[in-house]
Amino acid sequence: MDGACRQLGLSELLLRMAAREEAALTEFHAIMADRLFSMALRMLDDREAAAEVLQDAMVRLWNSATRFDPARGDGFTWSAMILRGLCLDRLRRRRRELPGAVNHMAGEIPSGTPGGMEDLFFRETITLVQRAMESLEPAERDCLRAALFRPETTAEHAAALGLSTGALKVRIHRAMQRLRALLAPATEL
Amino acid sequence: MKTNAAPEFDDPLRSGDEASRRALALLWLADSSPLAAAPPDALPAVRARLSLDTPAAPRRRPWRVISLAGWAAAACLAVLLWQRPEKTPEVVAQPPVKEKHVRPRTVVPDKHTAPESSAPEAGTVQPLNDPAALRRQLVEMKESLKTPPTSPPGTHRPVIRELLPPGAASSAAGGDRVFDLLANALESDLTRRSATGHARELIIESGWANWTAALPPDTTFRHRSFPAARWQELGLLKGEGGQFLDPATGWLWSPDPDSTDYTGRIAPTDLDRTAFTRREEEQTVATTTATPAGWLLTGANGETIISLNNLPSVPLGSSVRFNTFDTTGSMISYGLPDATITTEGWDFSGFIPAGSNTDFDRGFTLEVLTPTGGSNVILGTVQP
Repeated sequence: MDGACRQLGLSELLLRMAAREEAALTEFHAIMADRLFSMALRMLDDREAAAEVLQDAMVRLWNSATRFDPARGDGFTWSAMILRGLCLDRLRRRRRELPGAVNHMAGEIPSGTPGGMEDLFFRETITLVQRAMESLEPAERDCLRAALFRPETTAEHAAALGLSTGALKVRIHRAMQRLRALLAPATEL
Repeated sequence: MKTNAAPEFDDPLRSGDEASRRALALLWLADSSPLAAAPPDALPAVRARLSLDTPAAPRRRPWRVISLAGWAAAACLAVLLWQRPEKTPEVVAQPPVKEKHVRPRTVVPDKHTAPESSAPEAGTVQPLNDPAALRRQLVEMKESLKTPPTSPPGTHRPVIRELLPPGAASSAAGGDRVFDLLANALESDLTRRSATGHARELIIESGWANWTAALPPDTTFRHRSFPAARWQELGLLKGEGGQFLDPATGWLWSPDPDSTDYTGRIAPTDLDRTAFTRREEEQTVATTTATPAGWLLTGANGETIISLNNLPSVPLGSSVRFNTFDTTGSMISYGLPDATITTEGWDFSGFIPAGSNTDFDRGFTLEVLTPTGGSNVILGTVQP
């Protein structure tokens, strides 16, 4: 992953964006727009909302690029976490406005985009992640996906899964440990 | 989990926190693959919100509708390549593209939707049924293909690279296929953009549309190479008169009496579904005689689409990979998903993003690695 990020030059692009180099914004968008849009679409299951969140994320990335520190992480992860915050905000707002609405639980909607295009650049990384996820227990996968994709609090997640909050935290922690170990080749610094 | 950088943890904690974030980001990306194309107006909207000037970068086209496997994806980028902001785009073909006379084809609107779909989108869309506009664009494209590249050194320009089986020489047919590809892409693009209002007809050049259930119910399709011979493999039900019902999406595909195309639409509620069957004996067995073909289509923004078509089946347990080079001359290999490669005539499309430092000019091969340790190159760039 870091190798891929280095090849893509995302960190350099973010640093150039921090220096207010407009061409860097265009380059960053060319490289990341499809990925960020697809990730937002995966989480929100709404094309219009995903398009809006993509715009919000790009604006926020530009405005906060000065806070990006490549020594603390790679550009892809930093961008993804900004996008995730915006997606969660959107999901929480949706939940407030439509309290009866059913949230699309990760795993309940098909992953990826039918008819979409394979991301060859990250193909090996994606395959590694998918294999790592398959090696986890189903309950662990559910916990991880809930923690990643759903806007509810840990207590709400725990109640939905029939666990105590403490037990859920332990399960997530263990699942993350296993996932990190399985993904070590892709995530090592 | 917070969205900003970790607070002042000590090093082990910070490292662990970052590793967790990275793992989650990877998981999210993997769960989102394959990718959907971002809306084409995203960057202009972002720049407008940031009060930045409009960029001079190439305009992206809304190509997700035909982001299918094979030719459709290639056709899509072909439109992207051809319809550049400049009035006279430059396309470098490898090998050189030869001129071919192509008759502009008239796209027949779906009979049931013609009144609505004939209305062009105000202000932005060239009407499909405007023969003059279609002819003018085809002529411009034809001229641009004939024109040798004149861009100054270092200028980004679209590049089309043909992939051929080992030992095969590039031929006029190859150039013709590039031209046909562009012509079909243009025609499809015009068709798609002219489909407005309540009814919209979309064109599929090839591939299988298993995602049609997500489309508005008034959408119709025209499929120019409907895979009728693969109906059982695709899980379709066969009816009388050559119709096919897709139980997964509820779509009904019917042969067009005026052409070899099929038209698809949501099956009417009063359709007699008992007339459709999965019976083996009704399958029409087709023989794959097509020649493997492939293209690398690099846009002016540096993104490259790989389009592979009509590839032969490979032994079970084999893996397929692309081999190319980075700008320093080091070899890069990309593994290909293996879900489809045991089927004769399989297609694939994928992309390499801009900025990946890939140098296709140094060479490109599509290689099969068999379980017994053998290796076989199916396609590659033509070496000078």
